[in-house]
Amino acid sequence: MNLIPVAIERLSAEYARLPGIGPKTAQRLAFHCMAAPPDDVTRLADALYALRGVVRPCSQCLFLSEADLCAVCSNPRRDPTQLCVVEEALDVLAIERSGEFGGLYHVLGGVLSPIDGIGPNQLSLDQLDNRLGAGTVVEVVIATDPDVEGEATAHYLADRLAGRGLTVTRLAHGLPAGADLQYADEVTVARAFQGRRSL
Amino acid sequence: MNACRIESLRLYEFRNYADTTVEFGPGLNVMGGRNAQGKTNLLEAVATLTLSRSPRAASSADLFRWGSTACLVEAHVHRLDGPADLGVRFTYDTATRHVGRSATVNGKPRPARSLLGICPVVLFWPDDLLLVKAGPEGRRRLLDVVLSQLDPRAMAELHRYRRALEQRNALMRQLRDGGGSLSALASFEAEFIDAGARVRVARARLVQDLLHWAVPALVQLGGDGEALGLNYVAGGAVFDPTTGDVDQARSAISTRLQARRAEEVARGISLVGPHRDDVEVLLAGRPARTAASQGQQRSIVLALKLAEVAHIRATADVSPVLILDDVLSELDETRRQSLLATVAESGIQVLVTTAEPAALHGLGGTEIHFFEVDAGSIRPVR
Repeated sequence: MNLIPVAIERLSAEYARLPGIGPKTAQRLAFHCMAAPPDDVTRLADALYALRGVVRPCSQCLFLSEADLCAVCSNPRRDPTQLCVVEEALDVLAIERSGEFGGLYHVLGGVLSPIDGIGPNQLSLDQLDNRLGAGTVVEVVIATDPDVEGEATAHYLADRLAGRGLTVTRLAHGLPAGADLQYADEVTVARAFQGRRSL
Repeated sequence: MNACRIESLRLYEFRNYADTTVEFGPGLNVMGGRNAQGKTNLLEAVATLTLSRSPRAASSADLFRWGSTACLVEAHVHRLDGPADLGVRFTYDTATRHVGRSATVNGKPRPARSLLGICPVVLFWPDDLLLVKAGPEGRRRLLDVVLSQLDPRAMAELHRYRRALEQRNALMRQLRDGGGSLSALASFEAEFIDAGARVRVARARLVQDLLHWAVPALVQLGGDGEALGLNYVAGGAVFDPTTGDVDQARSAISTRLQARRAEEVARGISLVGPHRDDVEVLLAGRPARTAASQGQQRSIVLALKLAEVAHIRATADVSPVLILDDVLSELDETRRQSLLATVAESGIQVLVTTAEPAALHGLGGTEIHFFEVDAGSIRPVR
């Protein structure tokens, strides 16, 4: 006999599909929705429903937007000569929080990963070519993750962009800011040494 | 001497153990009992905890007790610089069939890789007796297990190399079947070559270090130590780390990749790189797999294992725990005595399983603790 009503099972199963949520947490969330005031649940449902109707990829950089152009692309104070290529939309937020970058972004929508069947055609490279074709961009900053797939994608982009008269740069790997050298792990210290610069 | 030892070990829902805790002593710990009672599983649990994964199971899903979806191994480890509590837990998600792994050090969640090196181990399974004669995989694994415990950078490079290899192989298969992108292949090769070169140099250096310790060990076992030779063989040629560096290894891999590209694409696999390297074992300049007798080969294997112990002691400044699964009964009396004498002298902790614990009674000069393993339970015997 199944103790839990099917509707709750269904909701738990949907929650469990979300990243970072295991079966136990999913069940707790589903039971919470049952116990919470009806208004709260309605707001949650409305927010979820509205999301896909209202938010779409920016037509230029593929970051998330409620208009044709996102808040970054439509900001006239951003420097259009610098373009930062990132894996996904969340990476834009991380770089924006740093306040270090005043240019525009391009969201690839993933990285090369043959195991997952992701090749160049699955990334937003045509859009990137079109943007660079306009001739405004001077520097492309590649900000993919420093793992095997991110590095390979960076290599791929560097090859693809070579010979176009662009400056192509890669984010540095190194020590976390504000941290003690003695607490950094060996791999990070080694990478920081390999990427040292003259003063 | 900074002897590292496991003071207590808990197995929860691991293999045939429901929930068992055992306290080990320093020196020799002998686990006896009939076959299929869980002696090897106990040693596997130690290896799984200290290496963060089982060196024996094809899949971590095999580690769960029948019907269980979570298992745990914990140990209290004695070190001169203070005790450490290690834990590793595996959980099985029945919906996705995914096995999750989490680790703790001193009660705090840590990445699983941080378990390695806290309590280094030297493993000796019955299969290892064929280490000289059998294929290169076992010899590569020996090097990788030592490197992973001693050198976090080498471990990171090994991990990076394996990932690049997997991606490259996936791409090779796509290219073979008419898909894939050649320019993407070149992009993964940059990672593949760099990580591969670093793995190659680290392994070749380790081979030299092991030879340094294996020579006197072989003499102690009554063999001809001076005649022993070990070479790291990369891409069909000996790689000498005293003359070759990472740059040289990089260009060697790169050249070989160019030469065999067509063949690789045709077959859809990577034929070049450290995953195909080998350690050549020589006796008086000739390959030991054919030139050495079976007895000589066993002595060489023992010498290599003792060299692992000695190298870890010298490099990590902590003595490893030696894990011997049913190996003693495979050795003749002379080799058994010299192995145990060496171990007793070094003061390291040894966990050993045997079907005939009585043969070890009355062994002079060593502290011996006996245990009886019976149907997933273990108790000390006097």
